Amino acid sequence: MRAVLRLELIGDNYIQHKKLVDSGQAPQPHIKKLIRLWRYGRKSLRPWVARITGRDAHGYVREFVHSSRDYSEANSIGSKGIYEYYALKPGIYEFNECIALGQARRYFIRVERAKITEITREDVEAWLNDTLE
Amino acid sequence: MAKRYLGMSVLEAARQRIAWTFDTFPRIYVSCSFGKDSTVMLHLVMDEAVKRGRTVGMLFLDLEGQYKLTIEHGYKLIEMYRDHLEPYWISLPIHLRNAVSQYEHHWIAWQPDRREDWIREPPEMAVTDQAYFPFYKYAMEFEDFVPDFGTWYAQGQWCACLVGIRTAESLNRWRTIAGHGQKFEGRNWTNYVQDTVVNIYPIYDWSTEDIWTYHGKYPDRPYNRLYDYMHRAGLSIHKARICQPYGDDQRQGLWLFHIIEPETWARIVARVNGANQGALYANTTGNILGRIKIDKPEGHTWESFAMLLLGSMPPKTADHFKDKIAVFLHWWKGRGYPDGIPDEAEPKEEAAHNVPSWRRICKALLRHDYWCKGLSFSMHKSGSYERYKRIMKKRRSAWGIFPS
Repeated sequence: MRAVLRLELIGDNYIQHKKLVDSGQAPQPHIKKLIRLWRYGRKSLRPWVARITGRDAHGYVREFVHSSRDYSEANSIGSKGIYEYYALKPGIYEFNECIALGQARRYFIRVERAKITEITREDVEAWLNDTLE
Repeated sequence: MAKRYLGMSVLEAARQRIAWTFDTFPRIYVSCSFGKDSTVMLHLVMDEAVKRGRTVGMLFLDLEGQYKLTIEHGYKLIEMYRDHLEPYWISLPIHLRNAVSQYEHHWIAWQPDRREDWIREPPEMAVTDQAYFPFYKYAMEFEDFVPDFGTWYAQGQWCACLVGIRTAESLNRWRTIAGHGQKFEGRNWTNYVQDTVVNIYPIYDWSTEDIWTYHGKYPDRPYNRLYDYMHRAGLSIHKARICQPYGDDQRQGLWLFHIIEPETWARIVARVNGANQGALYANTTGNILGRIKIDKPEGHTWESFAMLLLGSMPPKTADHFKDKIAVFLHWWKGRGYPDGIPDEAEPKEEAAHNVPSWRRICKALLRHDYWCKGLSFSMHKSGSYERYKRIMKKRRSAWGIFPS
């Protein structure tokens, strides 16, 4: 059974626009808009979910999870109401959640019997120690 | 793309897909029409449900004008699997397309104020209370009801909606399954719908012969006896299909109703405007319903013929078509036809929707192609039509095309 995790893509319009500007497909906007794009269109603000499977030289070995994107509640400009749904198998995950425009937080969860619980980095370390032994 | 065989029978592959669905999804329901495909799928799903001791939901949208035999078959299946089946037999007012009338281009199944005209009474188990589903809006479109039901049934958990459609049925069905929809965990026989709902097509690769081979091998599993009558009426196994009979494509099967169930047919004619005309002419080539080859009257151009047709329609219907034609003309104006579209063009190019012409417009009008799919339009979302009409009124005035 898979657990449901729903993350909102707040400010997706900025992320998409910045992508186009960076690739040269859209013209460089006026300085005010450029600042907004830089603030709210950063890749690090995009939600993602990764399953932790071990350790390596850079930290954790992670497998990124694909999502299903739902636009049915999106507003007209695509800044709010776009949701990504993740189907999570049992395991330990790290994820990035956009909590407000220009703000994101990363944390850890454990998925067991289709239920999600938030855990700390120490719990992850302890779990990895047990698993990798 | 060529077919790639998996080295197993379609039955084995379907069973594996269903087993994966039960492993993956906490909530499962079957979308059923009690036709041949959904019946086979229901049998396969229920085998797995019984084996695992799980209960699955079953959605049946009862569109009032159903064959008696289909209804009886539905009762039989529900009774057969009652311990593991949670049936949702929906007999709520639903807005449906009527492609056989210019006066009533839509009709509402189970319309409360026309109860005396209903083709039949809903069964006792049916959901008839309009307050039962929080998402339900009076006379909502079929296409809006189905995904919203999925979201409601899912209760916030991952939910599989098993759909018994097959790619071999039609190009549209193939496109639905193999198209660019979001796939779930990389499986090509799935389509993400919305929220936590995923459509699963376990029998997508079955042929019509496979369906009947299944029934041949498992004679204890009931099938809809309507197909026996369709066979006797001269239909091949590929042509025998059950669907809402007044739709744009489905109207070609209307003639069957009065042969198979004359007593139901009499009530349908009284209930749905144009049903008898559809039964008589839906398969006729020519101008009556714009099928295949159409002709214009002597002394007319296609443009003047289109105007004549618009003038002969009820004002509301004509106005709807004028909105569509205005967009069509305006769109092509900016794409190589600043002085207006030609009267006719190369038929092949017209058929491929590559070039505009007044003949294409005439064809859409004669076909009662209400959503003007032949002019490359698509259907509106329910609830947004009134807004669309307001916007189009302004646009038609601004463009100078059919200004009101």
